[in-house]
This record gives sequence, structure tokens and C-alpha cells, in this order.
Amino acid sequence: MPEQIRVDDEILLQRSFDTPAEVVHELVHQNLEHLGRFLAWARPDYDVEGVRAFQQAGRERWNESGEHGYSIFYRDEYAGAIGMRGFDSPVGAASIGYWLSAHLQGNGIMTRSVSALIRLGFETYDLNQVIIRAAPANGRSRAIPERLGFVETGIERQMAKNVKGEFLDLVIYSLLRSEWQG
Amino acid sequence: MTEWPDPPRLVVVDDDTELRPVFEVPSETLYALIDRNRDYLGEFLDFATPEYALEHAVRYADQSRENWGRKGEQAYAIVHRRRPAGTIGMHRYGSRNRAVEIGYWLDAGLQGSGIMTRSVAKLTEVAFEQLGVNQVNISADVANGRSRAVAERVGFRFDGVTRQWLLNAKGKLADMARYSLLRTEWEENRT
Ligand SMILES: CC(C)(COP(=O)(O)OP(=O)(O)OC[C@H]1O[C@@H](n2cnc3c(N)ncnc32)[C@H](O)[C@@H]1OP(=O)(O)O)[C@@H](O)C(=O)NCCC(=O)NCCS
Ligand SMILES: CC(C)(COP(=O)(O)OP(=O)(O)OC[C@H]1O[C@@H](n2cnc3c(N)ncnc32)[C@H](O)[C@@H]1OP(=O)(O)O)[C@@H](O)C(=O)NCCC(=O)NCCS
Repeated sequence: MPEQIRVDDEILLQRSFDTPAEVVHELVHQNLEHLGRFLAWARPDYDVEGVRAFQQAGRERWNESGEHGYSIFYRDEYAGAIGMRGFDSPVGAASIGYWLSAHLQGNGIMTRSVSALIRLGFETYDLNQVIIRAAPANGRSRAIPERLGFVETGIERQMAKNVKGEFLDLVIYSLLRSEWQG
Repeated sequence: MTEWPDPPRLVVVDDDTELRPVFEVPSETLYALIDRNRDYLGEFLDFATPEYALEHAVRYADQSRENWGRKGEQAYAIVHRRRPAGTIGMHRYGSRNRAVEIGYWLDAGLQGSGIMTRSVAKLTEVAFEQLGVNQVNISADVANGRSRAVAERVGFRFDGVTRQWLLNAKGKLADMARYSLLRTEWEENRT
């Protein structure tokens, strides 16, 4: 995948391990409560070393498969992250995951970023479908695939956890290449 | 991962039927069974291609021995009246959410008498009561009515489909119906 993706005038995606771990750490810690409702890793003890380990895993995946996550920059400000995995899927199905700093919600940053990754997946990587999973109670996250024309196809029960270690169900959305409006 | 126990090496399903690790039955016998059922199996399973040969059955047995009690698929042969009649396996053993997936196939000639329903029910019981899993999943081609009926008879819940997800041995892409049974539901129904 490209090292960076220009989504539009305001949004730039840059591979995640190029962002200093301290910068990631700071934004995550400003957003612990916001992220921890739906993401298991956003814990108070998530330290700079934890970020580095995550980035190292990303670097290895990049070396192996050319696949990696991106940092999102909104008007040059570090705003969150987005990643797409599953390029090696035998049925051409990749899934997208993301988070955004609470103070930057409501600007369409994530919807636009997801849309750019979908375009790349279908146009450049010959994917057959893109999948997004979100907890039933995560209305803001669910609104993204819904806004982009995904179809809700079912649920995966107790397949994720929040920071408290409680199980979360995941609603499954998918968009087939044949349905994509470009 | 390593805290998961070794699955039992013998699971008694009923007077006529037991499950044994797939590497304990001769690969030649298993291969002959697959060969005889090749076309029927290939409709819904990806491994039963025209190229499937004895060496694949041998490799499957070796891999299963290596996986046993550790990770990946825990594969059993279904032995019915002392003869291998099919396989049933627990996939994703050792996975993060303690969710395993049961997959299976049966000799075409032995269909219709509940062997698989009883085998799935028994292995599900073993998974919850001896192996500490949190949930058991079953998935099948949406068009595979017989397989879906097995999941439904055992009391699994239909969770929806994943579209264009399965590739059968004939190279056809199909939607997958997904079922699950949670530990909490298992405990409720047991009493
Ligand atoms: C999920 C999450 C990324 C959604 O953020 P978001 O800001 O709601 O999503 P977007 O960036 O797409 O913005 C959409 C909003 O911007 C508005 N918007 C403005 N311009 C827009 C544009 N060009 N395109 C789309 N929406 C636009 C939309 O109307 C919508 O507004 P609303 O909040 O009033 O409904 C964010 O809430 C988050 O990170 N949550 C915590 C972590 C998490 O749950 N991650 C997902 C796990 S599955
Ligand atoms: C899927 C498969 C295992 C189902 O086989 P099956 O014989 O229908 O399943 P069972 O062994 O549970 O038998 C159920 C049948 O026996 C009958 N039956 C008789 N006694 C029974 C009993 N005590 N308990 C349950 N069912 C009983 C049921 O009514 C049902 O009959 P029906 O076929 O008329 O509906 C078999 O068709 C197969 O291997 N197919 C090819 C491979 C495949 O698709 N595998 C699954 C991939 S997801």
C-alpha cells in the first residue's frame, strides 16, 4: 500500500509507524474514556512502549505483505488512525477499523478516510468486498458504513471486548465491489 | 494459548459412534472414504478437489497430530460401527475470545440417521464442559440446508450471513450462514 494517501485538501493518511510514538500516546491518553468504551487496548496502562510494540508489528506486516495502518492528519493535526487488513484473503475480503479523537468528531473525517481506502481497495488491489464491524451500541461508528451504502448482514456475538474486559457483540457490514458507487 | 487443555482422545457419542483423533485412523482409510465421496463433498467443502490425493490425507493427519491440544484445528474422525464415517473438528482452538468453530462432513451413505447431530451435540458439550470455551460457532453455505439443519437441531442461534465468503472445491463463491451457541445459553439449557 502507498506510504501516504491524500484523501482531500484537509485529510492526509500516513503510515502509522512514521508517527512518533509519543504523539500517538498523547492523543490516546486524551481520549481514554472515549476509546475505551469500544476498544480493548485503550487502557490507562497503554504506554509509549505499547505504542512502539504496535508500530513494530505494523512495520513487520508492512515488510511481509505491504499492508499497514495509517495515521490520520486533519489540517496537519494528528487526529486518529485507520487500517485495512485482509489483502491476502482468498476471497478478496478486507476489513477496515478506525478511531478518531473525540474533539474532531462531526467533521466527516472518518467517513471520507474510509471512502478513500475503499476506493484504493477496489481500484488498485482488486478487492471483492470491504467489511466493517462495530458494536451494536456504537452508533457513531455504525453510521459510517451506513452513510457509505454498506449492507448490514448479521452479528458476531461476544467477539470483541472493551477495556473493562466485557464482551461486545459486533454488527457486520459489507460492501461488495458490485454495489460500490465509486 | 497453552492454558487450553488437551481435548479428550476418545469421545463416546452413542453405542455405535465415537470420535477419535483423526491421526489415529489410517490415512488410507480416510482417503478412500473421501475419494468415494469426492463429488458430494466438493459441493460445500474446499478441500475435496479433483486433485485431492492420499498425500493430502497424510499431511492432514500429521498436521492434526502437531496441532493437538495446542492450536488450530483439533480434528476427530467419526468412527461409526468401527468404521471411519466422516470427520468433525474444532477450529480456532486457543483463540483469543475462547470461541471455537465446529466443522464436519459425513459419508453420504450414512446421512439421515442423526449421526452428525449427535456428534455435534456431544462435541459441543465437551467444548463447554471440559475445554472451557466461551462459545461454539458453526458456519455453512447458505444453500447447505442439511448442514444448517444440524446446527439448528442442536440449538445454535442463527446470527446472519457473511457475504461471498466461502469458496467450494469447484471454485464457486458462496454466502455463509453463521450460527453460534454461547456458554450462557448452554448453561441455561442444561438445567
Ligand atoms: C467512530 C468514530 C470514528 C466516528 O466519528 P464521527 O466523527 O462520527 O465520524 P465522521 O468523521 O465520519 O463524521 C461524521 C459526522 O460528520 C458530519 N459530516 C460533516 N461533513 C461530512 C462529510 N463531508 N462527510 C460525511 N460526514 C460529514 C456528519 O454529518 C456526521 O455528523 P454527526 O456527528 O452530527 O452525525 C468516532 O466516534 C470514534 O473514534 N469513536 C471511538 C472509537 C471507535 O468506536 N472506533 C470504532 C470501533 S468499530
Ligand atoms: C451436513 C451433513 C453432515 C448432514 O448430514 P445429515 O445426515 O443430514 O445429518 P444427521 O446425521 O444429523 O442426520 C439428520 C437426519 O437424520 C434424521 N434423524 C434420524 N434419527 C435422528 C436422531 N436421533 N437425531 C437427529 N436426527 C435424526 C433427521 O430427521 C434428519 O433427517 P433428514 O435428512 O430427513 O432431514 C452431511 O449432509 C454432509 O456431510 N454433507 C457434505 C459435507 C458438508 O456439507 N459438510 C458441512 C459443511 S458446513
